[in-house]
Amino acid sequence: MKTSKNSENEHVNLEQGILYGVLKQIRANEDQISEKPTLVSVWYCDINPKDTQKIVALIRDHLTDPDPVSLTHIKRFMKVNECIRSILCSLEYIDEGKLINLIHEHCPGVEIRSVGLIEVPRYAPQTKDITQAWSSKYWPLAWKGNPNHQFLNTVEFDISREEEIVSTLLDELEQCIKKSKDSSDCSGVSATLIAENINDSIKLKTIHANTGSKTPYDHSVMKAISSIANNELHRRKHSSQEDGEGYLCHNMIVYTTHEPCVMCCMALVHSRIGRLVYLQGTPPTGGLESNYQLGDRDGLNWKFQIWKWIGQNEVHRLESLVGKESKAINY
Amino acid sequence: MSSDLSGHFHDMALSMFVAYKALLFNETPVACIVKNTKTGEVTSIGYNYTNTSLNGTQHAEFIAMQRFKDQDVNYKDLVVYVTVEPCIMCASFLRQLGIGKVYYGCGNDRFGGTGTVLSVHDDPNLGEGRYESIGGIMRTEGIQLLRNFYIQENESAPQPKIKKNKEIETKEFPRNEFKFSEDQFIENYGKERIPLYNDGVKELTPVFGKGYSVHDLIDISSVKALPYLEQELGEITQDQLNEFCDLFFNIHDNGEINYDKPIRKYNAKKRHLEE
Ligand SMILES: [Zn+2]
Ligand SMILES: [Zn+2]
Repeated sequence: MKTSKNSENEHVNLEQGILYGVLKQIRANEDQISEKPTLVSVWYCDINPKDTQKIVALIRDHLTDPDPVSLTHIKRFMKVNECIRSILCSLEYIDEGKLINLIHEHCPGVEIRSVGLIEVPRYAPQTKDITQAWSSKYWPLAWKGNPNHQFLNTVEFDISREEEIVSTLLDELEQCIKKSKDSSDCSGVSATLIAENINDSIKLKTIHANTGSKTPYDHSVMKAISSIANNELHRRKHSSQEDGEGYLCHNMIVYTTHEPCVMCCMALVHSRIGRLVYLQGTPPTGGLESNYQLGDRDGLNWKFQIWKWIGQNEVHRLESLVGKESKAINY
Repeated sequence: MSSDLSGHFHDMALSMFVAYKALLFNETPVACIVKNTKTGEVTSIGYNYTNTSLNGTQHAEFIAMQRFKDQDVNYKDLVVYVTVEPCIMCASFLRQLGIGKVYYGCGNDRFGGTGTVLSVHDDPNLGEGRYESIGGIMRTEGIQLLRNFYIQENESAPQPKIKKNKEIETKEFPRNEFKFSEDQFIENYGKERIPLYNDGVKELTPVFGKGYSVHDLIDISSVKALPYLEQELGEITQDQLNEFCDLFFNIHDNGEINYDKPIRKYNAKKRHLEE
């Protein structure tokens, strides 16, 4: 296994985004990354330089944790004429009246010369060059190294458990192919497994196969999502436990044999899953590497990790079951 | 080229009413009706069903089309009137089914899949099933229904939530932008309306040069005739229909919105409408 020089870990190939030689990261590549940032409105205030420490404390103690927008990539202070201009928090977090009350309450005596809104990039830029460009265009940003390299070096997988789950997925697919009437035509055959990480161990929640139906209702991803919902409806009916809330598949892990179609990828975005692992790409219809990179798009309000399983044993086993080509079918 | 859009407004108003029934049912007020162009019949309806089903994929389009699952139906003959532009998921779903055409009310800024965020309906890379998706009929009403939902959500939250979107509380609507070509605009809405295409402020009306209010578009018998609606979302009364119509501003003859008309705001807690 080839490992990059910069990598802190043996199992990480930073250049190619591959972990343990079997999981390849799928993401918008650098020329797909928009040079135009997604912007977010933030509050600034202008203060006398001598009051800077008080504002530092205000931001640290009252304006960082509760803010739904992470501003760690934003430099907080900049000199503007005789003043210090400071970024306080996002507009999403607080309105002007409440903000001014907070300042008066926690920084008595600080002279606020003005308060206003400016737009800054919402997410950390992916390269140093973009950091510089955005810094001069919008507001000074901090470059702390490639955020994706940091991610790859810190993300954790129990790789033998992952292998086990992918095998379970392929077992299910194999059984369904054997059971189906016409096992000669394997186009459109796929399987999806949904799992959840509970106390650091991955528990299987549901597994579904599509035995070759071409109608979109029968895609294995849609069937798996529906079964998570139906199981939970059933549980709530027969249990006195308090109802859960929020998004049902929130942060769950989805394993599927094929790159899902645009519909299924967006269904996973709506369901707010945590990560997706798939084996075979499905050009030209798929919604990830083939089109759009749904799941790794800033504008859609939710992102999930996307990994392609490239471990040769499993890839070959899938090919022997369904063939190599996707024949322009939506999975 | 047809310049009288009354038929489309009638059908869209039916969808808007279905969305209102969904709102009364504690669902996001987005809905659609499906019309067979061969027979002129409304053959299905759908409404957002994500809260009740706990399933984030149960959008109006799915509920509506699932009813045809085991029927022998030619999807090319079907037209969908949906209150909000289909999301990326539904846009792909409709394309895979081979839908004939989509009319939608307002655009879907966050997830719109037929022109706003992506153009799944006519992306040449995605294989078969490209279709036309035309927006703008009853745009402001589509938005107004959603505003009623979000206002209610914020007010019923245990602690008043931070306003996610300032626009929800404001009266004015975002600019009216058509996400399809000028040729398509002319073909669907008529040449005389072309000044609207880049105007941004004025709205489409059923008859060019004449205003409208939602009251004029539908009556109790047409909503009662909708399939599945009363069985699934409860009886429809004249009071309910009146309350629905009172949620909306009317549109002046020149296409401008009459912001001076007092409108009602839906209140879920009191289960009725208040001034
Ligand atoms: Zn699919
Ligand atoms: Zn949708």
